[in-house]
Amino acid sequence: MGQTPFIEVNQAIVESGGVDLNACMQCGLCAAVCPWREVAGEFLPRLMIRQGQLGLEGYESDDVLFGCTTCNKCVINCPREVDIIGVMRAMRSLVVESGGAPETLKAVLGSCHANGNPWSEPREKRMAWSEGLEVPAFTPDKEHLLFVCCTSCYEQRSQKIARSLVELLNRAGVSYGVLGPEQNCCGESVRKIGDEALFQKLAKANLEMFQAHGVKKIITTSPHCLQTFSRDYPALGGEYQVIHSSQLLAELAAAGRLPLSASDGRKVAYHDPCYLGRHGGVFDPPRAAISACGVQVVELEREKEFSLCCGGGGGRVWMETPPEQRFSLLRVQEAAAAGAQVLATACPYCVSLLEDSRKTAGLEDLRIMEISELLAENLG
Amino acid sequence: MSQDRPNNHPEPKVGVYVCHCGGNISDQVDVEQVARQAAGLPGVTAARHYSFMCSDPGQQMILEDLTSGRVDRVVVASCAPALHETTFREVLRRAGLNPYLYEHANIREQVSWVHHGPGATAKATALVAAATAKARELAPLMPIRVAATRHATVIGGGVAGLTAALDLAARGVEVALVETTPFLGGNLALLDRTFPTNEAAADLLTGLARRVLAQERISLYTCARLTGFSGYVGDFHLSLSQAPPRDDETLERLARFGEPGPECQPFRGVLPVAPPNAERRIELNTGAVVLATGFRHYQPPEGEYGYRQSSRVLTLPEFIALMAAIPAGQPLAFEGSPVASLALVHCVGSRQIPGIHEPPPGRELNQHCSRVCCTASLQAAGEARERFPETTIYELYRDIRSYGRGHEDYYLKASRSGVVFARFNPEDPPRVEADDSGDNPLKVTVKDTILAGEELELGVDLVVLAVGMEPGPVAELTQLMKLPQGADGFLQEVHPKLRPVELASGGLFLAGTCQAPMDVGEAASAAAAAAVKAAGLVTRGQVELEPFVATVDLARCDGCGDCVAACLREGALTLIETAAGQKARVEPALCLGCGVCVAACPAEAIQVAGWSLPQFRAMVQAIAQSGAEQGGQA
Repeated sequence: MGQTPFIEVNQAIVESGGVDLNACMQCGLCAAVCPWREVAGEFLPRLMIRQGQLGLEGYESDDVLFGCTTCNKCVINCPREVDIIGVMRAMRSLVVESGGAPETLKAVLGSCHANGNPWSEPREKRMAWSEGLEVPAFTPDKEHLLFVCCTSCYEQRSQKIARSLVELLNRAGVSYGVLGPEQNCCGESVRKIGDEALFQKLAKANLEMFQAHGVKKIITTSPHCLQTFSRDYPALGGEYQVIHSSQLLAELAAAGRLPLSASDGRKVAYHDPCYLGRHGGVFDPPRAAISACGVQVVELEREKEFSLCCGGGGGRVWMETPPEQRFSLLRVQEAAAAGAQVLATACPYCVSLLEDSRKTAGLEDLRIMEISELLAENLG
Repeated sequence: MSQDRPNNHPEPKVGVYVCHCGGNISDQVDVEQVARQAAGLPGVTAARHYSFMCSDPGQQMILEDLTSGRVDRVVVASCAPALHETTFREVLRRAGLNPYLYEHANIREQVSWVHHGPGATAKATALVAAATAKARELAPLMPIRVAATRHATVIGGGVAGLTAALDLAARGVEVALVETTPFLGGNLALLDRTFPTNEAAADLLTGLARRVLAQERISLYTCARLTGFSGYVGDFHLSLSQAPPRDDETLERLARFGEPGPECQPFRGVLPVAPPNAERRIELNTGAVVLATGFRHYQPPEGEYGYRQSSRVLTLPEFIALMAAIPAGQPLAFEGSPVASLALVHCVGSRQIPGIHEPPPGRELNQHCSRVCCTASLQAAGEARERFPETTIYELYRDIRSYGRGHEDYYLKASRSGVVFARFNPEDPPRVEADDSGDNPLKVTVKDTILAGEELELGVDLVVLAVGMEPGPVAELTQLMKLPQGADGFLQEVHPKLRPVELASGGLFLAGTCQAPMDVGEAASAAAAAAVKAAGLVTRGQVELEPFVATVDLARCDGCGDCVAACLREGALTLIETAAGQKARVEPALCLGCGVCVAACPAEAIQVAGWSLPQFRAMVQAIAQSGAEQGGQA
């Protein structure tokens, strides 16, 4: 018995924002370049889109529809420039709106609803990361708002990223400040998970807060916040000058505003985060920032546009992936094989997953560092 | 001819020039030895070898020997004559000699590329000896010149025929435009809008027809059939037979027209002039014929994808006409009921595969790709989605070949408009069945190649078959004019790249889809090319032909007629009455130079100029002698 297409699903996906659904000609390049091929994963973007085009069942599972890490590799390679992530997001939204989100993601969405962060942590503990540090509050006379990613607010390993960055900003004399617990998750992952209504709610709250405090320029610690502020928020009425910390650090280093020792002789490989590189086109500033402290830069084979995703985007950071299917494991092994002592990166999700895989692989001689951490270690 | 060399004719002086062709020849053949051996042959007054004989210094070497009087005929031993025979004949012409005092020995393709070692040199030596022996027997020849009538005939009144006629007339050529129906416009008239510009076919045809009717040099013959064809390049004789139309379909179509004129009626064409009331025979004398006989749409046999079993299975041209008949803003409907979904099937009657597809009785499979149906389907599907957004469209294809400029845009547009594509393998084609159980009268089952071969069942109200292009019904014409056809049944050019619009018989040209599936633009390009070629021929006033044709020695001919019976080309050999009795006569413009008559003649009274029996005998003798000498040496 054959399957009967359910064209209404096709139309619903298009109406939910997957406007490019039917532009896909099923060439399969997306499936070929998808990082899931490296670990024999089940997720095939072409098949997912095919099922969406025909409205056929079979794509809704955690491993298929929620397998996508939104790394953008398929999108930049698509010969028809299909917004594959947009299609995937629309397909997820149909599932999520009918209560079909994977269980772990339901908890994430629930926490964002209740606490304004995905980590099921209380809102009032949002500034716990800054304990013992001199972190100015944002006031209209400050040039930048420092927007610390929820992950670096709450997760212990990640807090060090924010703490290092603050140390650097203070030493460089940057005019900045932070907003407290009223800050909400930027909503990037929430939107990719497919909960459009929740994204709108979070974004609206942040926009009102930015407006109320007279924010004009934003420094983000996460490339995910960077992308959502610069790509998604303008459509909701909020235009800001947004810069990622690695870009700012490169500028500060070039201007001689960071007293760096420039004598760190370690071999450092740089892992391009998807949202900074393939999504944002930012490839050189992080490398410039790293070079400023005198390290030996080791380029990985899969670099820049070809970078290997850590596996944490699109909500996957909260989902369980068996070790043999973790992209981050391949990545730390690649760095170790290239002789790197430090695998530097510029995204809290990447740091978390690479750190996990480093432990899994037992690579005790390899350190995973966010660029801020690397530079802070080299402050003279 | 050459065998009759007068006794007082000076002994020929043969120059032999052996080419190294870089190392192409000299790596395998001892060219110095070949030249040395040649120097010892009777009649040879110069024997040289050089790295590239075809180069300027190589040609200069030959030219100097000719102008100094050292040699008066030339043998070049090099590559295949197809490459450089004319090059070296030109050297003789430059030296003021007859260019046919030339003989070519192919020691590359026939020797160095296929033989290695001492045998290669031996064979090259033998071929040079043969060529030299023949060269001694050569006599000057004159090209055949025939007068060309400044008139061309275009057969077919579709877009290619109209274009060719206009282009010929613009070059000052009188043109007869012959069309079998009362209408102009051909298959183009059956289309709505043309890709890639979306111009209305009717507008294009009205423009062309207006210019044709206003062009005084074009004589239009509608309802005309070619009934007689004779003559040769530059001087053809055509008989046309004009008759009032009688078949019901034509009469019905005619009834829809008012006054004749250039205005094209959509889906009907142009009625340029009133059809004739009585039968009439027309004789034309014409210098060139352009064939623009077009194609015909593949007609699926009953049962192919449900065709003619269900009235809801249409061909693409039928569907295009259906859409065009629906007023703007109205939904898509068929026989009064709305069409909620339809399936378009590609490659119907094209790219047929032996073992999978069945040829119709007495017919060959259409193994060719019809090229235009993909874009035509995409255009129709995209238009349907735009005009009838409520209608779901499935497009079932094997491959999408939207190859031309702007064609891919139709693919993207159809995709973006929400056409649902499914790719099938030819061994698992879609099945169309009547379906009483569902919401739709037809069910199409297709095995989707992406979904791991899973079958999709599509409930549809219409099935549209993208039928391919077949050779037009030109059996009578091909018989009459002896036109060559390819294995696909389309008329076949001499060479697809070097002579793409010419037939092997001089003076016949191809324009448009009689040659191969083409879109409108390509057909117009081919027509323009054919017009230029034909005009170039007839406006020169005369045509020059190679002199290698049969000649009759009247003294020996006893008029038995064996040669006439053997001759392959009608009209090339005839028997005539002379004062000395019945004799064979050659029409040089028609003679193929094949030599069948030479073999048939019991009296050795007929020879092909440049390839006479004494020349052959001299060559055979030289080869035998060369072989004996070399055998003796070994």
